[in-house]
Amino acid sequence: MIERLGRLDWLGLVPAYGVGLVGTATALALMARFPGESILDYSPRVLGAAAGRAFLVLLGLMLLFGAPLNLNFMSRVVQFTELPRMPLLVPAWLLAALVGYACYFGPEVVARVAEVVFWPLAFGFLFIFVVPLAAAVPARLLPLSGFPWAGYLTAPVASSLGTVRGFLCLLVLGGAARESGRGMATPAVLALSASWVLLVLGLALPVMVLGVGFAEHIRYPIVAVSGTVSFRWFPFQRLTLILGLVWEMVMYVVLGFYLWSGTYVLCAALGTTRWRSWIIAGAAVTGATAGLPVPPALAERGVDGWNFAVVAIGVLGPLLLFAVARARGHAAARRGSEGGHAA
Amino acid sequence: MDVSLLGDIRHRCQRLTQRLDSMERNLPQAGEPREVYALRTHVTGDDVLSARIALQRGSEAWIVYIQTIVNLERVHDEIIQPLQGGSVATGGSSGPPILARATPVPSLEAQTHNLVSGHVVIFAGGSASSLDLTNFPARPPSEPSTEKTILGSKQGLTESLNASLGALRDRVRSPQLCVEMFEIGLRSRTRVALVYLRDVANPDVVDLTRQGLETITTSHIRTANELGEYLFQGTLTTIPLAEQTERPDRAAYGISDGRICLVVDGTPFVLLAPTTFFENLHDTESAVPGPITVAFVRFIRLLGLVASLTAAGLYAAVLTVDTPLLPTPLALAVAASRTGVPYPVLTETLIMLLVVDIFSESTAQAPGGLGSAISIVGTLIIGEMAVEARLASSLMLIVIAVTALGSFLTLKYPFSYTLRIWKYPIALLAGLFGLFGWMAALLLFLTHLTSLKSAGVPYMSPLGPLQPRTMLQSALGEPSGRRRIRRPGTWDVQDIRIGGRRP
Repeated sequence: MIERLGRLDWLGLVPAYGVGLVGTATALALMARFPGESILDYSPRVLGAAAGRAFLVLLGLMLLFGAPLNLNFMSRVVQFTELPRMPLLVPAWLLAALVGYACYFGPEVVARVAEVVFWPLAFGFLFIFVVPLAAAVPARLLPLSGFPWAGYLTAPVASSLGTVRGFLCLLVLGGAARESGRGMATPAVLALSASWVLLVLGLALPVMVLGVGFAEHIRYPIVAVSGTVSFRWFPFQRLTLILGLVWEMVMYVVLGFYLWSGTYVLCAALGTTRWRSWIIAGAAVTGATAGLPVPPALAERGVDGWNFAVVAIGVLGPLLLFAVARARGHAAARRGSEGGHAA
Repeated sequence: MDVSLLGDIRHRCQRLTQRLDSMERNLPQAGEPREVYALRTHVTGDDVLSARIALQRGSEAWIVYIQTIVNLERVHDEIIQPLQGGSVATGGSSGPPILARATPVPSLEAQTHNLVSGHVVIFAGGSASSLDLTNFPARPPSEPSTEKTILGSKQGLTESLNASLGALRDRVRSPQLCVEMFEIGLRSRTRVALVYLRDVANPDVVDLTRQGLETITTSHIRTANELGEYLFQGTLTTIPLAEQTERPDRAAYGISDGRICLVVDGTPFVLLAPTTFFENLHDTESAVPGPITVAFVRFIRLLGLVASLTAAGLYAAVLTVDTPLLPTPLALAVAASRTGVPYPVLTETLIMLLVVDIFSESTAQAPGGLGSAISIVGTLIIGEMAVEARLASSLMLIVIAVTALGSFLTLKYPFSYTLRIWKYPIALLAGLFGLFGWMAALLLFLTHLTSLKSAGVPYMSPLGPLQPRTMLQSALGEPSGRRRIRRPGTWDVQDIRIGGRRP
């Protein structure tokens, strides 16, 4: 599509962010329509027992597939930056075990760890965004049509779909997020929306304004291009190693939610409540599959397939669910008995 | 005859004599009533005595007591003398004042209970009553040994439950201060007091604690820590989930903030619950100098705590896997300091950590001034010798010193054990996998911390879950005086406002 657009390739941003916007809006609409319930509760009711369960199986598999995919990426970054002689399986297993331990206690612990590591992460990201500014050319304002978007659309697409996946996790948490003592739903929605806007501003606008150099330096793995940036006053190349730690924290949180929500949804769809036991198995399988040496072509295809799955199952699935619910007049099962939630 | 055989016979005779004496004591004394004899023999011990007191008009009274735990002088002054000079009516206005104050104990079970608790049981006029003349050995309050303070109160709690409760009541003079008494331990029957502010403390925490206390079935409760394990631990962790303190001002402050306090008879430490990670950095006096100083002091403490936990791991990571992180001059200096050290960095790190822990433990256990002598010997002489003998690098010694000193910055002694234990897996993973392993171990530690709850409160509050206002309060110190209008939100108390609503 980008190639066909030619000089108007910047229009590629519209579908990139449009997908995220649709996914976000659908998730919010479902949350408003079924307050106090998770997608596990209402999808069999709306779509029918068989179709609802099939949808949940697909959703669970999709979320679970995200865990080894992301872990593979992270393990390769670790291997590349820190442990070049270490088999890929070792960092993959270590991180999978760590995340599995957190997921065993449930999403609350993962969320709390995310809250705790947010501050070092925020400083890390600030560093990542600010330092490459020195390599940019502030005076060079690029017109929208003058930027080769074809090679740089991955980041907006990834951020957009990342937001969708965040909302999917929120749908799985559903009532738990909304009805918890702290009312987690609102802050989570705000945080996800803010991150989406920040990524738009942080990725799209600076690239357009500051040039390709900036884009190169914020694309991960940042370590790969750190050698091109040199400061007399700052040991940037050395600190790129520490930046790897930032990504480790990011991956911890991302993997945590994939692993937990995927296992939880799949267990619920298959009719078992012993999701804690399956978390351990899920972590082991995630570590093993993520540690496999994947050829680059297959990895690229995997990412494409993953993006397609997110759009098909994570965006269109909930959209379909919402449309059917609206057409059939489905609403929260507890609305009548606990009217307060509807408000 | 063999000399050893004679010795054996003499020994057996002595034991037989002792048993006969004991049996004689257990025989009914002349004229001893049945109920007095039953009580005296129901409680085993040679220090359980009964005595007959001749009253006026030819009647008599009997008292039973355990001579090692009652105040004998008071027994004479407050029971024997008044009884000899008055009538036997209990509770009536005409009887001696001492009997008016006595508690009726009709059943043998109640009599036994009061007797072993230090009461004197009085049998007079066909009824039994008891009087508390307890004189358990106690020491006067002294300065807390584990929680030193420069500007704060120098008074510490003691092993006496009554004295501890008195010290708390002295500091929290509120009519809402509620004290519930329990007896824990089937054998020890240790008195435990649950203290809280009725209109402030979270009722769920109070109920949870009360239920926990009522369901403990154990023989003995020796320390407050043991009670805390029964009530709040529940998981396999090294982290204490109830705060121990021997400072009455600290305990009173916790109670005022809406936490519950458990006072255990026989130990100078009380338990405060819930607690969080950040309570390990707080003390009672830190709010005194103002927010900037408090923030600085707490930041230093946190830094020291983190350094204590991570410095050894960072050393192992940087010198084994992530050597490019070091600037060239530093790398050369480190290489020079390690020249001649015969084993790898990870081995060196683990050995030195072990050595420091051995020194720390021996310092803690050594009597009196010997502890400081051991620490000086350990740090100065052994360290110097280890470097000279090429058993460790000089940089390693600096790292170990930071690790050891940082662990003292935590104000809660039990938590320092957590730091000491967790630095091993951190150093191990860091030595094996570099900074990646170091961070993985830290995340593991963080996950463990966040997975814990103390009496229902997440252990990493107010950072996770984030409560910005309380977090700020925690970092800058609790505002004192007019500025302090809110209790910390962490404890989820009934009334967050101190002193109620403003007009």
